Amino acid sequence: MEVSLIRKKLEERGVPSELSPFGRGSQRVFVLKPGDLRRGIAAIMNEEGLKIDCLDFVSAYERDQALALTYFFRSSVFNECLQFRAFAPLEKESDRYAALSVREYFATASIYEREIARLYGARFEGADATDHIVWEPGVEGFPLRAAFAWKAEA
Amino acid sequence: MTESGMLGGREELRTDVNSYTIGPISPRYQGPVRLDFQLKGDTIEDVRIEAGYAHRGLERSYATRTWMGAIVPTDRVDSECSISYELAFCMAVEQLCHIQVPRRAQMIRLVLCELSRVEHHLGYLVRIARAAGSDTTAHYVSRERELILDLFELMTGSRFNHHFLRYGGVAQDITEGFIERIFDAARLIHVRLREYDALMIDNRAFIDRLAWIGAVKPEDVIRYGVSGPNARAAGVHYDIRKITPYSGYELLNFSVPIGRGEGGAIGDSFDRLRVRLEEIRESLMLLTQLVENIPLGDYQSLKVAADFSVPQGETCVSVESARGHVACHVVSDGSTAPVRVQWRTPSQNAIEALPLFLRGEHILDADIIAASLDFTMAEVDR
Repeated sequence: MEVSLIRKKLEERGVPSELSPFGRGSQRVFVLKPGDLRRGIAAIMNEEGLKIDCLDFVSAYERDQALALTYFFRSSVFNECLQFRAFAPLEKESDRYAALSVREYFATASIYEREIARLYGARFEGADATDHIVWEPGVEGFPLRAAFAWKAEA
Repeated sequence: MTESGMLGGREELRTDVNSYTIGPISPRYQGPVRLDFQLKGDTIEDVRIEAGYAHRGLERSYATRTWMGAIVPTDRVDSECSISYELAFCMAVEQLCHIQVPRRAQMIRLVLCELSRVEHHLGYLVRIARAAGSDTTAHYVSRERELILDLFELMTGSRFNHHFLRYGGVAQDITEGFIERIFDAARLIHVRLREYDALMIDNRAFIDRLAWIGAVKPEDVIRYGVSGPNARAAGVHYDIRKITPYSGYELLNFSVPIGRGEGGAIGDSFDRLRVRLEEIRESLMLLTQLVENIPLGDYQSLKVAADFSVPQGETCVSVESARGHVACHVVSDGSTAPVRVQWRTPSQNAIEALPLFLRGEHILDADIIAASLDFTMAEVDR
């Protein structure tokens, strides 16, 4: 996917971005500020020459005291992929990561946001209900966090 | 009517809108899931889906394993398509480590992937036949599925959860007699497919049960990220084996069946069945091509030590499993254990889109539509 065109579309919407290498090939990920994510998506959706119309999935992992959220988009017209990344910081007054939901743009975001919310303790502003994973009674905390204490019972 | 719902002193009977719940434990679905239906008469107005009853924390367990041991939970994401998951994970690690896979090993991997597709689709036929009330068909199809499971046992030592792929190749070379048995199985299943056509595709009762129900538009399929045979049945040309070929698919000659609405509407339950039957034929053809052209050579480019580590970095690899688009995002910090392995599974998107397939349909068709979508909760509650 043409990097210069994506950059241009993001700049037109006033969304600053950094380009970062991803994987061992020529893949790149656009790193956006967390607050700019929705505007960034609006900039690339259904744009001529990009036609991003599908969110394949959302991935998350903890990095540098933040939650690195990677959005894997795809254009079904050009069959090309594009990645955005935003770092969701920890909220000051709670131990939740603060992120924005992209549910209004991509229906499929819901199930991934729900999972990340429950496993990492992220709060997605504007998301659907995020409480769909049922733990065994007594499990507290967020299992995918590095600091989670893994209590095994015989 | 008063605010309290009383009509002239009599309580109003609200018979027009009902709710109906299936699950979380129900033999109708592959794994625990709860479906709360809102019905108007017997038409489905809306469905609320609740998953997460058997979340296994597989992705968390990667952080407690070495890279070598990480293939074990990979198998468990979906036991029926475990080879595709192993392939995606091994390819991701091979990318990060710049490991070259010998041609022979790549071909063996593809043989297993296509066998897995045939086995899974035969399992699908069993499930859809049961949902449609045709137990006889289910028994016939199970017979051929056993053949494929036997082949897996011969090659990998297990019928499910194979744990056979390794970084840089496969665990073992082809077993004696394996190629001949693939030829035999392919020939036999080709013949049996004509029987399945007679029992399903050309059977008026079967067509009437499946056609015109659960149809969706291609744009909705794309919007919800539905992939695999479900998307192709709706007319979306999306098969990763063709779009971004991997592991040697670019050298093979095969076509991708698409829904044509032959029994009813494009993308209905009947199309989803027909596309899978066509895919079995294509996979059998692919298997024949593969085993005819397996080159001589090594089946593994390196032996991995217990303290094997992966250089710092991250990558994402996509493959086409029998259910659809599987993606694996792997993050390494350079140590002997993965930082993060996250999966994109086809069932996750299918279940999110399920209300779309069910709205406006008859409640009695809900089971068959859900069966035709072929989601497994194992992929959702990883």
